[in-house]
Amino acid sequence: MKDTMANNIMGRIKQGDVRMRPKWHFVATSVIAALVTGLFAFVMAYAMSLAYLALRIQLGDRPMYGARFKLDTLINEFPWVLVVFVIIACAALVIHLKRTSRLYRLRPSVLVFGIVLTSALLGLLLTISPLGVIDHSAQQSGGHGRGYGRSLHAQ
Amino acid sequence: MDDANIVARVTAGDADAYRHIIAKYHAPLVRYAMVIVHDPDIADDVAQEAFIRAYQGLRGYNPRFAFSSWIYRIAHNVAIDIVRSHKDLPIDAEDSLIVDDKTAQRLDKEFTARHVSSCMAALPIKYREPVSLYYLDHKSYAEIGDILHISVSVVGVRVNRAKQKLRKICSERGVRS
Repeated sequence: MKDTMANNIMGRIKQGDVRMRPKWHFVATSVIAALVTGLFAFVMAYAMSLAYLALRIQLGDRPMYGARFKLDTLINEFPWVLVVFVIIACAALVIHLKRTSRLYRLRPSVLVFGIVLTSALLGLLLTISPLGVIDHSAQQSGGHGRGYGRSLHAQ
Repeated sequence: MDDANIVARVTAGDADAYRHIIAKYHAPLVRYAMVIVHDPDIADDVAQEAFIRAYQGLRGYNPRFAFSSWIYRIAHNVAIDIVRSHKDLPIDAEDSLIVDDKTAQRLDKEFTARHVSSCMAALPIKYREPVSLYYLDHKSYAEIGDILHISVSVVGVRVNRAKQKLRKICSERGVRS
């Protein structure tokens, strides 16, 4: 039975019916995983901008008309489809990581928490980096609101 | 020649070297598949499919993992897929596990070889896999964790629970040491 199976498999390999997947296939899946994390970070940064604006409005001792307007604009422009996509991609990422690394030793909840935390940190970095502060109108008007709340909306 | 060298040769283009992998892992994989599917023909199919999938994914194999754990994991996936797609498979079939004398002695010398096989076959698959890998394939807890993708502590818990369940099943069936 063993020889029959070996001959069968080796025959299929020799005939080209069974081929090794190229190295780039495995590299590509890792790159996609990194891209998903980056995308997640972007959405997190956007969400943090919303949260920061909402917090400013709540805690501000002025009417905060500008912040309210920005918050409304951000909510209206929020790419909700992207959020759905990111949730699905995050689930796929968890499955991928559990399959291809030793992260299966972690509970899925811990893994998801790790991904969210990593993305949040990336999002925070993205928000406070020069990339995230390109709202020229805000800068020209004295820079009020410069920071988390305005960053990605401007993009 | 160890597994890593064979894999290196195969990925370098020497496809014939893969025959060594098949020769080495054929019997263990068929036995392991039997634990899950309980059918010699299907177990053979599982092993064959595992060898094919392993060959296809050989360039993605991470040498930091033991090759045996990797190929067992592939066999596990194939077998579980088959069990899910064939609801009629006798999951709790009896007399389908082959337990040798040495293994029976290792089972805390509590059961006879003849009855241990039927008792083990009655275990839920969740417990049957780790206990068979531990006692039949003599894998370490870490290797079992790598194969089943569970932590070492969970492996320990499942093996111990499996032993408790085995005692219960065997005592219900009147098996005495």
